[in-house]
Amino acid sequence: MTVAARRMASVSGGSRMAAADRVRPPRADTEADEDDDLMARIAAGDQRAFATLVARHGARAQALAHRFTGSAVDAEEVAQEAFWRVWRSADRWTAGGARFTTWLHRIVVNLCVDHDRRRRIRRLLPFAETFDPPSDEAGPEQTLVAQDEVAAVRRDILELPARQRAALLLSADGEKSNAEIARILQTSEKAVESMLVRARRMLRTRLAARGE
Amino acid sequence: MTVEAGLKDFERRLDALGADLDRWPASAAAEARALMARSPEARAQHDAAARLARLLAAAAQAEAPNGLAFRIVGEVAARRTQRFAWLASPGRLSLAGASLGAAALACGLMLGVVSGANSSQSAFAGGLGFGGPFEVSLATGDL
Repeated sequence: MTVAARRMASVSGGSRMAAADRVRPPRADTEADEDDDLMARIAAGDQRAFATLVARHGARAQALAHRFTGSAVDAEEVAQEAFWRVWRSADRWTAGGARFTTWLHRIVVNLCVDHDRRRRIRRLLPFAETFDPPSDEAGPEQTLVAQDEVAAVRRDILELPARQRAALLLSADGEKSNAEIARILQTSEKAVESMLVRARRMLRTRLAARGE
Repeated sequence: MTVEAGLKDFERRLDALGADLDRWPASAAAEARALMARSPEARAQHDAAARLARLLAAAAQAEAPNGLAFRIVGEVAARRTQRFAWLASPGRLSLAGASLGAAALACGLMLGVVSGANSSQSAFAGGLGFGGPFEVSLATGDL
């Protein structure tokens, strides 16, 4: 593992993934190359390049965090923290290694998992509701009235264990391969398949139980 | 493989790889298409998986709030400013001084403990140890 790859892995909260990225073939991906260029400019302190990067990827990072946490407010905090880490670590970014989006999504997922852990701990405290308002997903009653099956699926997703939830949300747009999701989650492709099997099985069972 | 085993395996693959067979490894996709051609249950499983995939795609979407990018850039700029302000602040120097003082105190304590331990060892040797002559006496059987 190169020194730069090790540094990037430590910034995003882990080190296992960099080895997988090392063996990736050279990319001919225009969007990824543009991200690399932007990161090089950000490393030189170019705030306009940073704004462009945020405009390109901010909404997606926020959407991932929103569906993970169930709260638009928490999601925005996660997105802000993620991009702050991007800014701080831009000088250590090496073009041609991992994709920028893989790294960004890894930061977002790690922040979401931390957020989830803190929320579980807060729930043990007295007056937990004061500090931890409920998610902004529709409740069961609202879902029943609105017959909104998408809202019901969102509630089911929030009940999944954190890593399964992350794997499922990363796979939901159908654009990322299981190999790429494995790189984001810093695990093996087999482990991702296993998470997806458990998550989709649970969702299918819930769907069937609702008779949808 | 029996049809039942084939269906079970197909269901697992649908969950692991998703409903879009074009994204599966070629050999697995060919097997799946062959199974679907002869089994209505397999087609039903695929339909259910495709429906779940559509629901998941819709459920994973979230509209970005207005001004999101602007707020993110603003927040990062504010944090940078805070960082620079802190680096230049007299408070940082006080903090550095306090840290230095604490480190010096810790070093002093550590030195005190180490030298204290040595003194204790010496005291033990002087007060309770019987010394070389005693050991020689033991060895020669004088005692």
